[in-house]
Amino acid sequence: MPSSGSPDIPDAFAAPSPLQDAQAPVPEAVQESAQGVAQDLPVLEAPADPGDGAGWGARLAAALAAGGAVLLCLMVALAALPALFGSGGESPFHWNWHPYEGQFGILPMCAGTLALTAFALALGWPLALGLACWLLCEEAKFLAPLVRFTAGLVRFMTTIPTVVYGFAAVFLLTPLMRGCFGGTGLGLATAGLVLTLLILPSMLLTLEAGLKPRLEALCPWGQALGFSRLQLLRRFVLPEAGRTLVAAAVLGFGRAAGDTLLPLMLAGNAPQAPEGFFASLRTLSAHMAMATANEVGGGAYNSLFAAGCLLLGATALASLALRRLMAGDTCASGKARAVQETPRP
Amino acid sequence: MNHATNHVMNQATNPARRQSICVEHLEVAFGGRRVLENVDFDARATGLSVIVGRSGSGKTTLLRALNRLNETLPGCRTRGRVRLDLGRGLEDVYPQSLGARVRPLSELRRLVGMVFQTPSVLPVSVAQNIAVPLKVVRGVPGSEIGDRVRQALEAVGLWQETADRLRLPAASLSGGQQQRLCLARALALEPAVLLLDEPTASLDVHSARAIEDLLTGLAERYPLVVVSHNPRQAAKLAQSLAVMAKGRMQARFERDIPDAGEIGRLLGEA
Repeated sequence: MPSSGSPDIPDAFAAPSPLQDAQAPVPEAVQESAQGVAQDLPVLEAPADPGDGAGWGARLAAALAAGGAVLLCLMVALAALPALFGSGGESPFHWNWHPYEGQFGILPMCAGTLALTAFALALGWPLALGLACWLLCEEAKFLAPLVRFTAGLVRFMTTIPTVVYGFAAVFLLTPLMRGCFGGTGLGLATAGLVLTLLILPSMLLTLEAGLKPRLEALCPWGQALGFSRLQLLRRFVLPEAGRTLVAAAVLGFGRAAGDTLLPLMLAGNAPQAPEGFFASLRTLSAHMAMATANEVGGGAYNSLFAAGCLLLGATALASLALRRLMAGDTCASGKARAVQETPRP
Repeated sequence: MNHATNHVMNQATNPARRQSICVEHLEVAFGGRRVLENVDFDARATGLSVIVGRSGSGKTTLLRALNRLNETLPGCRTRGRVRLDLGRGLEDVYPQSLGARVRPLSELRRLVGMVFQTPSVLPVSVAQNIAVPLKVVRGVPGSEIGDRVRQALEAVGLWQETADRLRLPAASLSGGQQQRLCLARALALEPAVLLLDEPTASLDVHSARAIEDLLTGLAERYPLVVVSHNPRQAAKLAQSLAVMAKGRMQARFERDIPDAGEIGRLLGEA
């Protein structure tokens, strides 16, 4: 019998799909082809099943959702084009935001966004990684309730509205910062600390979802060798989990860069380049929220769309990178599970 | 049960035979569900003890009670006494009173080597599979690790087959080779007791035979406890035999090990 994959082999001899029933009787056409008359046979194709359709209601919902998202992106991009390419007046890519002088530079806000995001990531990512390691590896039985409580608390944190973080920080953290470091208490450090809290659960859950299957695939037999769970994680899981680690950082970046309310409430909002941890700054998202309320046209209008386009591009890139990273990571951890999985009682 | 108990060798009447494993009145429960009930078991300082039983009879739980691996599973509660000879005579594995000192878990598990049903290689190279546990768990200096890796692979007859593949991922080896690598890894850690949980269950006939031959040789140097549900294998390997059923010890044979047919009949009755 000729082997499958040869150019003169009919499709009927192709390797069966995993979904095909291995016990199903061999079709007559296939039996004949096995006797050497395959060349004359038509290609076997399963008829389309009308029951497979998703339904017009579902298709319409999908079209509306996708169309809305595409329209939004198109609208922002088209509206930003004059500002981005300087056809609508002065370019917004300079350091001066003085609306009454006709200067609508958004670079201070770009720098503010980068500074605040970097601050929150620099603090939040190691914290999330450390917390994930502790939640996954704590073996002391007397600490088990604390582990469960912390894991539950982190999940609860994802449901807290951003405004609650901001409100609490205005009345608790800001006076503390003002007392300790002087100034208004509103600035990069204050907003960054609270933003760290905001992005921490998302990063932690991403890390946990990526690391846990790999670690569990090594347990308990890895422990039977004398390794602790932390040693297994450090020696065998983390070196292979680069995608998970980067994915958590990208997700944190996306959330931090896109958040509006916390910078608006806590960063001070001075349209200036970041000058220090305790100096006031303004982010792109906060700038758009503030300026939209006051400016209705002209150069300000164009610069806001440019800011929106930049923000949309940055978060979309982060989202795409995250999807790619997570897709690769899921394959990797799936393979790890398949290879390493051991039965448990 | 009667004919089995007749064969049980009383330890007290034969002091010449040194015990390496002594389990008394062992009870293990997971989340309130009792898996082992009043189990007594012992094994000699050398020799191959086989535990047979049907699925769910508690064989693996008994094995995991010896290196306290059950404690890695949620809701585990263990009662009774387990003593092992880990180089200083029989010593308690579980603290028998509040504050009683026992060996740290990491040290206990290193000294009680275990090989699992499915070949469980670490996601690193063939050599690293032995070298990393040696370095991290055993604390062997880097200068000695190369020799020890080679000795361990030679001990299981894997050196010839893997000498030129030491840097390849261990997962690229065949199932039988992976299982021998796991055995080599356990041996490299210089265990005092070796536990094997259905070590040939996932292997083809030839690989299974190679592992069985290896175990027979190792039994001259280590106390081996092998869990099996294969009557033929049990009859072939066992120097002492324990039959478990429904979480209890059903029968013990210290000599005159029954043949495969008789073991099969015992399992059927269980």
